[in-house]
Amino acid sequence: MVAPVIRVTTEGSAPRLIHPTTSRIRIGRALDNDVVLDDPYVDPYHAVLDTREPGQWLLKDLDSRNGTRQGRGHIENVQLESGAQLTLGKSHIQVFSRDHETAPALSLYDLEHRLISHDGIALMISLFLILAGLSGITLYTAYDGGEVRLETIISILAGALFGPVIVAGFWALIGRLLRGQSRFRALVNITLVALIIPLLVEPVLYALYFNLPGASSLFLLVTALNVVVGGAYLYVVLTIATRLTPWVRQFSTAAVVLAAVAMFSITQWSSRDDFVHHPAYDGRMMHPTLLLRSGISNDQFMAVLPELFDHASMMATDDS
Amino acid sequence: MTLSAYRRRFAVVLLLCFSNAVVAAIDPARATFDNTRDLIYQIRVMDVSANTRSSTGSGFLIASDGSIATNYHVIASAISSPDKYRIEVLQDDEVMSYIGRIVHVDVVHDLAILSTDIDTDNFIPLATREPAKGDRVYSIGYPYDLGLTVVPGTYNGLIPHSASPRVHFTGSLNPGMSGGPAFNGDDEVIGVNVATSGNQISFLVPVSNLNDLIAEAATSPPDDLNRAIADQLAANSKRMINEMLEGNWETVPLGGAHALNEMTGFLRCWGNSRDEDKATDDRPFWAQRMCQTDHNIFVNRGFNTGKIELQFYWIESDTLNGAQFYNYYERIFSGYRPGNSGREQDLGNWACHENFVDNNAAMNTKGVFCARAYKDFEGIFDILFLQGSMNDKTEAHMIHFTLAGTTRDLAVQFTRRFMEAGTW
Repeated sequence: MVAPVIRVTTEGSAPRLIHPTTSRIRIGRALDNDVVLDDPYVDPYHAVLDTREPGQWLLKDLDSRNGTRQGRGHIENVQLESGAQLTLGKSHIQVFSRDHETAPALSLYDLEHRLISHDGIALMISLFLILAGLSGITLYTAYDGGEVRLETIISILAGALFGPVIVAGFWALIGRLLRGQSRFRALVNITLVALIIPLLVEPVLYALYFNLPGASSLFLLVTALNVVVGGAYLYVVLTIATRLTPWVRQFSTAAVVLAAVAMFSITQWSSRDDFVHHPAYDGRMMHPTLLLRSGISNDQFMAVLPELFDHASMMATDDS
Repeated sequence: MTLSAYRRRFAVVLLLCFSNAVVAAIDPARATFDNTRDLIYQIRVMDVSANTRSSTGSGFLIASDGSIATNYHVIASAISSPDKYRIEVLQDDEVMSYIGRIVHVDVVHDLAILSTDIDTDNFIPLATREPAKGDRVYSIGYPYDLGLTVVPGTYNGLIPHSASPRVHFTGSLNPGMSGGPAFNGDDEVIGVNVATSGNQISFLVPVSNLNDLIAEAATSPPDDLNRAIADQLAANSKRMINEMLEGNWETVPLGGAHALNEMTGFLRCWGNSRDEDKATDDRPFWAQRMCQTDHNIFVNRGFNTGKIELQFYWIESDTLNGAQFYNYYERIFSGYRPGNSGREQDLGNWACHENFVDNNAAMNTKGVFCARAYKDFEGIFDILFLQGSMNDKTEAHMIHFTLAGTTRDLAVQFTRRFMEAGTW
C-alpha cells in the first residue's frame, strides 16, 4: 500500500478528496489538522492515521468525545485496509490506497448492468402511480351500482401495490444471499413493469377482439401474453439476483415457461371431454363505440348451424 | 279372549250390518276395489346384482294375454340399463312373481306396456267416454310399500295450458302408485296415475293416450325402443314448435323493448322487475318476462327434456356510464343456463356458435346458439339460444330460449323465425 487518498463526506457539503502530504495524518475540527472536518460532533483533534510504517495504516482515536466507528463498532487503535469506511461524529471518511483497484466500467450493453441502473425513486413512484391508476380504472369499470365500501377499495388497491413489493423483496433476499447485494429498488421497478405490461396490453387486445378478424381467440392471446411476460421477468430477476451463467439462466427460464405451457395444455386437453351442464359460450359484449366492424347477417349466422349440429353429434358419440 | 270382548266385537259387527242395510249399498270405493284388486299388480324394478328392488310402481292388466300397463317412469331405468335391472310383476300376497318385458313405451305421455306370463282371462276395461267434471274417481295402486290401496277422489277435467294432456285428479296420489289405474264408477279405467304436486292435486294420463299406445303396440311394435323414444320426442317437439310458429307473434312492451306474450296455449308467462322504491343501491333497473311449459318429460333419473322456455330480460341504468354498464351486461349475458337437466351418460357436450349479428332492422346484437346431442336418442338435441342488443350505451335487451329435445330442422326453423321477428 502506498500513500492514502481520503474521501471526506460531511453533512451539508459535497464529498471531497484529500491527498495528504504527510505520513502522519491528523484528523479533526481544528484548522491545523491535515484533514479538517467541519462537524460540531468531531473533536478539534479527533484521530491520527499513521502511515509511517510501510505496508500498514494505523488509526488511533485520540480519546475523542463521540469516538470513531468502523461500521457499527467503536474503534480506538486499529489497522485499516484500503477502502475502509470510518465514521467520526456525523462525518464519514473513506481511506483508499492510491493504487486502489477500481472496478471496471459498467457496460451499457450488458443486460444486468443496464437493469440495475433502473433503481431511481422517481421511476418507482411513477410506476406505482401507473399501477394504482390501472387498478383504479379496473375498479371503476367494474362498478355495477352496488354498495361501495371504502375499505374494500383500499384493501384491493393495497393488495395490488404491496404484491410487487413482497415479490421484489423475495428476489432481493435471494440476491443478498447469493451475490451480497439486494438491488431491491431495481427489483421493485422491474416487478412493477412486469405487472403493468399485461394490464396495458389486455385492453388493447379487447378492443381488437372482433374488430380485427382472427383476434377473437382472446383467451389464448392473453394467456400467451402472460407467459411471455412471466418468462422475461423470470430471466431478468435471475440475472440480477443470482450468479448463474447466461446459459443456465436461459435454460431455467425456458424450462419454467415450457412447464407452464405444458401444464396449461394438459389441463385444457384432459378436461376437453368433461361433461359440463352449462354451455361455455363466449358471452363478451362490446361497448358500441368499440365495435368498428359490422356484424354478420341473420343468414350468415344461420349458415353455421349445420356444422354446429354435426359437431354436437360428434361430441355425443365420441366416447359412448 | 274374555266373554265380554266377544260381546263387544259381536256388537260392532251387528252395528256395521245394520248401517249397511240402512244405506242399502256397499261403498263404491270398496266395490271398485273388490272388483279389480286381482288385476292390479306391483311393478318392481329389481337390481340384478343386489337381487332386490330398487324402485316400485303399479300396473294393471289390459288384455287377456297378460299385458300390463304402467308408467314409463316406473320402468325407465330398465330401458337405459337393461343388464343392471329386471322388471318383476307381483301382487300383495307375493306368491307369484312374473318377469315383465317392455313391449312399447310412450315417453311423452309417460306410459309403458309390459308383456308377462300371467295366466288369466280377465283384464280391466278401458273407458270409452270422458267422465264429467265432479265425477267420483277411484285411484288404486301400491303407495310406498304399504300394499294395495284405493284412493277416492274427484275428476276435474284436463289441465288447461298443459304441454301434454293431463287429467286433474283431486285426490292424494303417493309414490309407488304411479302406473296404477284410476276408475270411474263402472270399474272402467279413465286414466293412469302419474304425478302429484301435493295437497290433493294429482295428475292422471288420460286413457285415450293409453288406447293409442295399445293400438300401436299391436300393429307396429318397435324393434328399437330408443329409436321409438327419439321419434316420439321429435314428434312432440314438432307439434309444439309448429304450434308456436303458428301462434301469436305480436309483441307487448317490456321496459324499453318488446317481448312476446303467451304465443300459444302451453306457454305460460310470468314476469317481475326491480323494485326501485325499495332498492338500496344503484344497480341497473331490470324487468323480465319468462314463458315456459308446465312440465318436463321424464326420460331418466336426473335427465328430463321437452322443456320450452322463452325469456326476455330488459336492463337499463341512468347512473352507470357505458363502460360500467357493459361490464355488468356482459356478466349477465355470460351466465345463461339451459332450462332442462341431464347427465353425462345421457348428453354430449355443448357446441356453441356466437357472433355479432346485424339484424335487418339495423340492430346490432350478439347472438349465441348452442346445441348438445342426446347420446341414446339419435337426432335429438337441446338448444340454447341467446341474443343481446348492442345499440345503446346504457340500455340492453336480452332474449333467450331453450328448446329441449328437438330436432335440427325444428330448431333451425324456430331460430330463423325468432331472429327475423326483428325489433324486439
